This record gives sequence, C-alpha cells and structure tokens, in this order.
Amino acid sequence: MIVWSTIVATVISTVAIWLASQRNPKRRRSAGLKKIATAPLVKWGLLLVSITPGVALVALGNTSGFICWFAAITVIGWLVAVKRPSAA
Amino acid sequence: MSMVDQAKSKRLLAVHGWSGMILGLLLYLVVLTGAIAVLAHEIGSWSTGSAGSHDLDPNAATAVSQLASEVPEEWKDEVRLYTNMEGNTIANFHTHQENPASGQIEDYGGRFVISKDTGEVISRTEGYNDVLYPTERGSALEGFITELHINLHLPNPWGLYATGILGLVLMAAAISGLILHKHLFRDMFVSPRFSSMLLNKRDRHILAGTWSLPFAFILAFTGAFFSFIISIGFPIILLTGFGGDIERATEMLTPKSPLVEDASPAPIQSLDQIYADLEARTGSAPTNANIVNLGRADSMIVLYAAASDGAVLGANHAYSVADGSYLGEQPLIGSGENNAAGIAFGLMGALHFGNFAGLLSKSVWVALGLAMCYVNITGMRMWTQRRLEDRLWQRFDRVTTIFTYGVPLTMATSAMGFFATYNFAGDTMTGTVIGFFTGTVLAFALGLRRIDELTAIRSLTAVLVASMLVLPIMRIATGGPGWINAITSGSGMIVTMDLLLLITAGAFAHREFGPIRLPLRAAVPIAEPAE
Amino acid sequence: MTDSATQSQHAGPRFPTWLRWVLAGPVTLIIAIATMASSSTIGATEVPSFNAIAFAAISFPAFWGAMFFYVLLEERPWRAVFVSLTVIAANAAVLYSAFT
Repeated sequence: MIVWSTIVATVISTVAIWLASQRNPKRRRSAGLKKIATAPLVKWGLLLVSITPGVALVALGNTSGFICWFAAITVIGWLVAVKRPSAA
Repeated sequence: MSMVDQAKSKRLLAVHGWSGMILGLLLYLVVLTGAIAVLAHEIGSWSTGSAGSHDLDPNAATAVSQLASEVPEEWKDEVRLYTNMEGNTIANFHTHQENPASGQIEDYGGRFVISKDTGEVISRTEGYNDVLYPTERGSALEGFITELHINLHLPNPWGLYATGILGLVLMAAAISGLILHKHLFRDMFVSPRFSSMLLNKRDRHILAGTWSLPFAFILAFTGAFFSFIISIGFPIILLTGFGGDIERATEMLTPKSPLVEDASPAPIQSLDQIYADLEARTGSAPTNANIVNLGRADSMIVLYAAASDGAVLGANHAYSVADGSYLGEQPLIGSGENNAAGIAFGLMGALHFGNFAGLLSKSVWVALGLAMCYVNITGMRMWTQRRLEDRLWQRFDRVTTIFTYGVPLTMATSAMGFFATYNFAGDTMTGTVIGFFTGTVLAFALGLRRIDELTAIRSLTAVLVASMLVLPIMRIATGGPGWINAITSGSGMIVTMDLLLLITAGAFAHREFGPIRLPLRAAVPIAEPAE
Repeated sequence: MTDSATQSQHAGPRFPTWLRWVLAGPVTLIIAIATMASSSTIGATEVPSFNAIAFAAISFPAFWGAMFFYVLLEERPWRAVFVSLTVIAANAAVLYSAFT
C-alpha cells in the first residue's frame, strides 16, 4: 500500500509534467516548433495535478513516500525535459 | 534579470567554476561511489551469494542464553547482537576497560558467531575492539566502496576533512548555480539546443543542474554534516559541553533504563519471543539489539526496528529481559526527554542514505546520485572544451574522460578482485584493492594514448561494458549461486543486481555503439593528442 | 577577477582581492566551527543541553554556507572583514563566559 501509493503518485505527476512540457512555449520556440495555445486554466491545472499527488501522500501519512516522490520527480522532470520535443 | 549585479555574478561564477574545476574530479568520485554505496547492503549480498537479510535470527536465541551461563560475569555488562553478511548471528559479550595497547577505554570480552543453520556457536574469540569488531571477509567489497565514499581511504581525520570540504563545495556549487541561473522556472522544460556544441553542453549542464538542485543541496548538506560531525563536531563539543570528560558525554548519549537497579540474578526470557512481539507491534523485524546487565533482574534489551507504514524513521524499543515485558520506545540518540534532536539526527541520516523506504527509496537515491554525476561531468566539460586551444586544458579534458568511465570501471574490477579471492580462502580486501588498482591503471593506459577524443571514449566504454558483462559470469564461475538457485533460496536480490549490471552495460553500449548517433557527438572537435 | 567596479562606488582604501578569498575560504571555515562550538553551549546549566549540542552540529553546514555567501556577495568588502571579526569576537566571548 505504502509502495503502491508512492508509485501511483509518481506516475500521475510524471504524466502531468510530460503534458506541461509538451505545451511549454519556450521549449517549443527553442526547438523551432509552433506555439500551442494553452489556456491559463490548463497551464495552472497541469501544475496543480503534478503537485497534488505529493500533497496527497503527506495527507495519507505516507511521509517516506512523499520524500521518494519528491526525489523521483527531480530526476523524472529532467529526463522529460532533456528529450527534444517531436514535431507533432 | 539576475538576482545579483555583474561584479557579484562574476565572483559567483569564479567560485562555481574554479571550485568545480579543482575539486570536480574528486567530487565525481565521491558522488558516484555514494550513488553505488546506496546499494552497499545489496552489493554485500550479491558479492557473497547470501540472502542478505540482516534481521535478528530467532534461532540464535537459545545459544545466547546458553552463553550467558558460560561467559565470565563481567562480560554480561553489555551484549551486542547483530547479523553478519552470511546471515550468522554475532554476539559480543563485553565489559568496558582500558586497552593497554591503545590507552583508551574499549570494549573487552568475547565475540561469538552463531550459525544460522545449526544455531550452534561456530567461533569464539576474546579481546578488545579489534577482536570484537573485525572487518569481515564477506564485507570487503561493500566496505571498500563505502569507505571510498566516506573518506577516500585517507587516514582519519584527513579523509573526513576532505569529503567534508567536498560536501561544502557541492553545496556552494548548488547555491551559486541557483543564484546565477537567470530563468530557473522558465527554462525548466527547454531541451538542450543543438545550435553549437558549447551551447549544447551548457544547456545540458544547466537543465540537469536545475532539476537536481533541491537534492544536490540536501545530499551535500547532510554529507558535509556527517563528515564534519565525526572529525570536528564531536571533539569540539566534547570540549565545550563536557570539558573533555568522555564518560559524562557517553552517559548523556546512553539511554536511561526505566527499570529500578537490581543486581539480583534473574532468568533470561527467550529472546525469540521478544523479537516476535516487536515485529507484531511495529511491522518490522529487529535488526540489532543491545542488552545490558544480562542475567540480572534489571536487565534490559533495546532493539532497533526499521521504519514501516510510511514513517521515515525507525525506532529503538526496550524490553525487560527478566520477564519479557515491553518498556516502550527509547530515543534514537541521547537520554533526554525532549527528543527533537534525535529526530533531526535521524532525518539527516535518512535523507543522506535514502534507506528509509527499502528498495523504493534506494533506487530513487541511486538515480539522484547518477543525475548529480551527470551535472558534475557536463559542468567540467563545458569549462575544458571552451579552452581546448590550450594544451593543459586538453590534457585535463582527457583526464575528465578517463575519470568519467574509469571510476565505474574500477568499481567493476574491484568486484572482480573480490570474486577472485572470496571463495578461495584468499584475503578479500587485498583482492578488492588489487582489482581497484588494476582498473585504475587500465583506464589511464587506455585514455592517455595518442588518440582522438571519440576513440578514447569508445575504447573506455568498450572495456567498461565488457567488465560489467563479465561480472555476473565471474560471480557464478567462482562459486556464487546461479539464478535459479538464488531465486529458490530467497536471494532474488542477487539476480536483480546481475540484471542491473547487464542493463547498464547494454545502455552504455547502445549509447556509444548503437544505431542512433547524437547529432553533435560526431562534431566534437578532435583534441590534439597530448604529448 | 577585480573588484574595481565595486571600489569606484565606495571610496576607501583599496581592497585586495585575495583578502576576500581568504575571508571566504579559511576564515569562513573557522567562523563556522567557532559558531558551532559556542552555540552548543546555549542553555547549558550544570549539564549541557542535548538539543543545543545536536542542533549546533546539524547547523554547521548552514553556518558555513551563510557566512560564505555573505562574504562573497557583500558589496563593501571592508564591512565583510569587520563582520567576520565581530562574529569571531562574539563567539570567543560566548565560549569564554561558558568556561568561567
């Protein structure tokens, strides 16, 4: 349970970070891609979705899971960002 | 829109760059061995072919009670119980007295090894600290890597000073990097640009650095703390707090027994029942125990149980040995009522070692360490490649290449040295050290040839990949358990470690020799061969 | 590395660059150790306070970091010298009073 809630939280945040990175205007511009119009609601929503799982872990009393999640995000975020965006 | 003006950012850049340049290679050595040392326990189990459980063995309980009636009375002042790499129980019965050889108060008594298979005592030795706490053959590889991380194998306290300074340097690099970075959040998702080789290097360094920042800071802070607390903190506080009186300081650090002093003889409750009660209570089996006044009515056993149920810190639990009753939790450190400090100490450890949630946190911590290595090496490359017209920097650039691939290579050859001795009654420490130096010589011999950079990288990668592929084969060929054997005997960790090596080897091979070439790799200017 | 830009803004004796590096290097390390030593005596009566000791030790890297970046970023370098000396003197006073 402790392990699974940590993994699920990390997966949700990973997806949100990946979606946010796909729409990130500066990332697209530096790769020579067209801007994707993103409503502020979507932008802040994705930020919220990427952070909420961590908060939820703390709320569930899974402190060790929260630290794991936070540390994992700092590696996953890098791996998501370092890959060149595809033209799609 | 920088946080600081030009003169300040020039100074910060000078600190960031020069400290990284002068100490970067050592820092890489410490960070990479640290990332590997997260798995020290797993490496121990893998290298000795054992299941690697450190839980206290209930089957040794009878032998401990039996020993209590055999050993001299004063040896029962304190008994330390733990499980070694092979899974046998070590019971150290001892008192405290001055060792004439060292002039220090040390533990004196008997060290008994109790077999995990038969529950019988298979070895007994008597003496001071060096006899009671020897370096065990089975932990040579694990110990070698861990010590390299902790003190670079330099004598005390110099090794700790060195790693302490490296910790502070890493902390300074993280903070100065943060201040220097103008658009931390805006650039978080910008993948490295390919417009020029130097710009690409810079982008890679900054992007990885940005994301690693929080934990680079935490690991540097806690690492510097551990190095300096042992080498400077304890001696100074002993002086300022206790006027140099070791006994008073020890007293403060020793948990107070809630039992009333009573020296009358009393029976010994079976320890296995105490272990079982603790496991039912906390969900974790005890991993080590300390008994005071064994055989007396006021005898107390304090057992450590690791964290469970999402907690970060484990706890010490006390039981009466005379009647087996639970006496409650004991602070992790110190005897005080207010245990804020004990918790803070515990957190420093948990955050540095990443061992608070088993394999889950350990694997994340390995990844953190490797990401930091990447930041370290790309930072150094940025600096050297900007100065490649200078012969000195060309050579330094090559040495950076040699370190990048050489340090992991020496870890692999150290393991080979261990395997060449462990099952053949050889001295495992000597074997490991010879393996380490062989790897070092090999890396420099390959890297210092008059060849271009790409060839140097490729030949070093080839040897590294080969060594990682050879390790599992060598492990089994020298008498370690095969995969089926390991899985059926509950040592699945051994197979996981083998697979980890094979996957890492595959990743390196794919990166260097695979079909996909990074666009800029071919464009790396070929450095003039060093003379 | 020069501090000429800073110096032209703040008239005064020319500040040697090496002195700033001495401050940021060895002097900062000494200050961090001294601050750890003196803060470990806070709250000590007959027995030292365990929490004070532990937090003094834990804060050591923070003492170092704070002083290091202060010295590095201080615009008026002579003031950094003054502050460093004051912190050393204050620590010395705390330690002296703790021992007498």
